[in-house]
Amino acid sequence: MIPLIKITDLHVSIDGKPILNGLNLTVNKGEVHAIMGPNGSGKSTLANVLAGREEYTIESGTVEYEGEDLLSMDIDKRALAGIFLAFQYPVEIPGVSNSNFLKSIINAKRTFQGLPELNALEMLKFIRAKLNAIEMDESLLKRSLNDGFSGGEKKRNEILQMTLLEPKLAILDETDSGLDIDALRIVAEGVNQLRSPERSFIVVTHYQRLLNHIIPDFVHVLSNGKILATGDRTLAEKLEVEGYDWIKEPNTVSAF
Amino acid sequence: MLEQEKIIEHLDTVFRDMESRLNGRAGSLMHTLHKASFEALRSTHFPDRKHEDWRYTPVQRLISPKYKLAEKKQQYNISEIPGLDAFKIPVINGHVILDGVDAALKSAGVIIRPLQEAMQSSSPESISSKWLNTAMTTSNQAFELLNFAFHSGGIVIEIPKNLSLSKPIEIQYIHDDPDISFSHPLYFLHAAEGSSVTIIERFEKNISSPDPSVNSLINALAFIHLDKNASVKHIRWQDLPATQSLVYKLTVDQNRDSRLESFAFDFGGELVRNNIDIELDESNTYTSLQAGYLAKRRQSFDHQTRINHKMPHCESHELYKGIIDEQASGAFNGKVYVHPDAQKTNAYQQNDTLVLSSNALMNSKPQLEIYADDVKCSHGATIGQLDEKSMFYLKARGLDPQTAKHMLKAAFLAEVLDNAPVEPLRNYIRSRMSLDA
Repeated sequence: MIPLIKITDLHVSIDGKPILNGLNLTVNKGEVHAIMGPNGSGKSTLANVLAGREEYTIESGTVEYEGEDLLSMDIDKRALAGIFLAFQYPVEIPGVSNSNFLKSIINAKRTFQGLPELNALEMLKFIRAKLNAIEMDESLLKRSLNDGFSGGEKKRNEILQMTLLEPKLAILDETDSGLDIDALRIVAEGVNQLRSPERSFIVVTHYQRLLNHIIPDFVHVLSNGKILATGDRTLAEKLEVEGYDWIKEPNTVSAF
Repeated sequence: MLEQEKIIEHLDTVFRDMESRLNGRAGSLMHTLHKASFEALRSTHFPDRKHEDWRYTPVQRLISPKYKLAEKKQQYNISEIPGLDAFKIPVINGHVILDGVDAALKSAGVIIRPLQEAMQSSSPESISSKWLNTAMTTSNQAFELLNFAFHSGGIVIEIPKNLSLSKPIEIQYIHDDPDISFSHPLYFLHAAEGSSVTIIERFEKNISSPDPSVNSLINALAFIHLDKNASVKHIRWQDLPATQSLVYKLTVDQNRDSRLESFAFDFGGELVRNNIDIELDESNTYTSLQAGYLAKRRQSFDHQTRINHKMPHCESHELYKGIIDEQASGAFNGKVYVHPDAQKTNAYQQNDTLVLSSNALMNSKPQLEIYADDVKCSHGATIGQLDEKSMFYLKARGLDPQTAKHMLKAAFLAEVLDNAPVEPLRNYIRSRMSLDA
């Protein structure tokens, strides 16, 4: 079985400054991988590079997604192929109504899949059903996209989009940041409902608390643009107690 | 370079040709005014780029020494705006089609008369005749005089005291002539004390005719007079064929406690010059001018506004938002004068532009002259590109770059469009925008 995504010796820089320094990561179908690490370790860079953000320079290395070269794919094509990035800082776009935006992205996906577009009524029904699951207020649909949303509302809107688009690989970039404990639980439930043998997650987080709700299959510790340690969820718990300082050299800890 | 003499010489021929068709109406009041205006035009040069207010409008592309007057025409067909229920007034090639004027307008209480008739019925209280007479005899603006010399009648619309018109009035302008030609529509709207009305001006093409291959000019004038406590909402929507240009001037005077909201949306045409001139004659008035425009190809859109705050406690707002793409250019010059007596004036002006190509050009010039000391006045201008982070966000959700770009352009103009009255027209403009994606 080919892995869903296979990152090999990835080197990435921004403005000449190296950020990822030979990162290797393989995610198979149905797996949940947590990426932890101190600030500036390259966690968000990894998430953004996979989604196709253009400010980064790929120096070397490969990323295969379903056996294909991901790095040569356009941003929108990656999304249509099933990659979803839940943004750490969702962009506010005044003037684009949230409901129109959701309709457009759902129909773009359906068109790509060769399915007919949903009409207004079907669309509303489809979106409403998912809204309830994440306890999101319907009034947010009428507002401009993320415009003036609270931190929690923005993150819920990200999870809503993820639920609607049903990606194969969801990348959560510090989705827990800025969330209170109730919002965190709701967001985590949204993710857990989507867990399936066909869907994989890369959960980027600084703190262990999200991983109390979303139980990962693997925990990786990223430092200086490299994965220095890999383990199961107990690694996250150890990090919570001992911090990141004890991890200095690659492969000093392995649960396998 | 503008060949002023050549142009005047040519216009002289056109004028004499027009006179030869007067059929015994020579010597009428209208003919006298035509003649006086043409004489004034002779001694008034068309502005060129040395003229500060015309630096950004290529007048030599606007005024051709080949124009003839567009022929009178009765047959026309303009696209329907779904869901819009309005009193229609068709104006084809500068001629008001009186048979086509919605009869329900009269039964709704609106007095509607050809200009000629309104000016001859010299009742002393007739504001329209007094006002137009003054305008026609004192103007020193070349394009205004050109209209006064060549217009073919025009129309006067009077909204009686305290009447709130339930439906908008929709003036439909079409220029449809196979030759290089110009037309000079003209209307005067008088909103009497306590009345309220919404007026739509649509400049579009005759959908029964092929798009014209030769250049033409619509040189339109609109006058709106608001009496005490009157309220006028005005929307100008322009989507002319690519060979047609528009010089438009709206002149407004506002009396005490009156309220004007004016919107302009320009998408089509070649060169568009939009002049708005507001006189605040009395106190406690409200004026809002807003515009949204999308210029491509070699289109040039030039917005010139002048708001004259003469009395205290008046408020004016301007919001001009434009997208300039390809080789197009745009200009905004917002003049606000605050006279010494105009204390407690509140005047705000904003011009925001997206410049989407390295060959596109925008000139933005706020111009506030303030001679009173207890006022709130501010202005701002921004020029930028589409936000990269927003583009990434939309593409990361599977939208192709074209769709994402269009969504952000529409969002940029939405601020103005969402403020505009008449929902069916808003939807129509929105759907028209999506064709431009």
